[in-house]
Amino acid sequence: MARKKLKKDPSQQNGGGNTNMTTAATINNRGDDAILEKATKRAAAEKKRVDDDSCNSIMSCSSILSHEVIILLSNDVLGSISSFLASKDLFNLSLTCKKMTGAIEEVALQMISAAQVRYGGEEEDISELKKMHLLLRSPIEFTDLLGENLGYLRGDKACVYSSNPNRLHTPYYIDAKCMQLGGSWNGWDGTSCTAICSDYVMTSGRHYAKFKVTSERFGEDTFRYLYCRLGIMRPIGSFLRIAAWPQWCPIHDQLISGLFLDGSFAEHYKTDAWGEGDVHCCLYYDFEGTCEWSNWDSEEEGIHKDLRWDGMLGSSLLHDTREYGLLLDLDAGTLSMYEDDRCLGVMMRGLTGEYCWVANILAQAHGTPDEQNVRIKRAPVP
Amino acid sequence: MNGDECMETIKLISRGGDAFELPYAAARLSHVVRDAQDENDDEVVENPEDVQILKVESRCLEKVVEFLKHYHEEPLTEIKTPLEDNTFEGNVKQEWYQAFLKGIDQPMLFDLVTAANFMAIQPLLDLTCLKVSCQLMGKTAEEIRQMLNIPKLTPEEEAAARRDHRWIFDD
Repeated sequence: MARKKLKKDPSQQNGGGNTNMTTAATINNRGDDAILEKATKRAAAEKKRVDDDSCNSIMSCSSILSHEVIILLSNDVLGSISSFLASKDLFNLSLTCKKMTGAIEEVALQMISAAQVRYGGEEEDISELKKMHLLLRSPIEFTDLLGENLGYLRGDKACVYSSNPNRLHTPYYIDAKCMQLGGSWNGWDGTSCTAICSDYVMTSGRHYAKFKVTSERFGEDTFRYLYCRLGIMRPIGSFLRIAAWPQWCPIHDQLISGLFLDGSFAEHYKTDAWGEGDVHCCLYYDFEGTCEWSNWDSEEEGIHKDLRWDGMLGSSLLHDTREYGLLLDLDAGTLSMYEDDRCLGVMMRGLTGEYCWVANILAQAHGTPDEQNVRIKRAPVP
Repeated sequence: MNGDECMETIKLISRGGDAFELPYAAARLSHVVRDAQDENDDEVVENPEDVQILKVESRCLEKVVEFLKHYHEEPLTEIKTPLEDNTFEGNVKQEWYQAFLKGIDQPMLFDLVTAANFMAIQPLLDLTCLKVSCQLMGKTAEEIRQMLNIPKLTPEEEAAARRDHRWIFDD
């Protein structure tokens, strides 16, 4: 076993410490033998106390840390082992001794930092190991749902569904109305709800996610009645959670209402972590295939829509399922679109600071969860 | 001529004073060996100096040199994470590397981990840490303590840790 090498205090080596030796010398000069004897005994007792403490320290280290554990506690070694072990195995390893608990927390923190993300949730006293598990090992989830008509598909937080609550508005009904009125029907309604991955905040580096949109067609019509805005926004989900709005869109709804505040999101929630740029949300609008973004600072002037970008393919609403890949590159400041892991082009530039993934879902028709949903999945950068 | 094309040999000298000779091109996988030569990318490495590896015993250094020689001929395929399997052989498909660590005792395995870390040989560190990880997988804390010879936490300390990490068991 390794034994901890102690540095002895030189002042203790001659049996009393400098202070006690000085006292003893002074008293000796006075010739008071009884006081000298008392001072010498006090010094000897102090030396014994220091020696006992040192001995106990050696014994305690030796009894806790075996040779193997000392090797494992090396940061590089534990980092390598942590990359191979599942979270549950890491937890059991952390339980073996206090030193290991601390060392694994440190490694977990380093792994999170290396992944260039941070935990954006609100759980208090959460360990670094749990954060690492949530951010790096678990599937990414929509942790905040804003809007009344949004829910998890069978409890799966990586997949949300939305539906027009008006049961009359089935796709067949909408089709029939459009045909009847020759496209001039203005009875469209529906809901605009937003799902945010608030816990998973991307602070720098490159991050890739896939969004799979399911909106099955009905009958002969090829048009789909569920479409989305998919992309990134600033991590303010926790502030929005308390609002309980029936609907919310990160592009169109820039002014705070109902929260006893006046003004815009940028005005109230902007932090240094947002950087210098003013693109506070940037979304791919799959109804058109265009880009939309907002600076969250005013009702109309801050919204930019219908932006065309090199490589865009146009609307994808003709398919039962559409899968989009989005690459956020915070080093280059870009958001790029992918299809089948093939880059279509850069949709937005000049991005700075931190973001989280978001899906805004517009459900025109009344349909079942399996017919109308959006799933997010973290994926390796192509 | 760069380090890889150099035909020179080098000796690595163990703590016990035993010298192990190998091609410099193989030895330079170790950053410690490379740094000892103070080589640059453009520099022609001639007559590399022997390096003393004072923290590694002879028996262990011999295994390290065996690894370095073979790696130069057949590099270890990168170990992908998350792991595909919970066995060593399931993640290391190359037979030579499977055999390299087969049957070695625990002290030697940990000595190899230490040597790989000290000599900055990343592939050897990955290989030996994977072996250790496979031994740890699926074990309870008590089983790991017995394996690594560690005394227990107090009941209060263990209860507090389990309370703070209830999510592990919920998953």
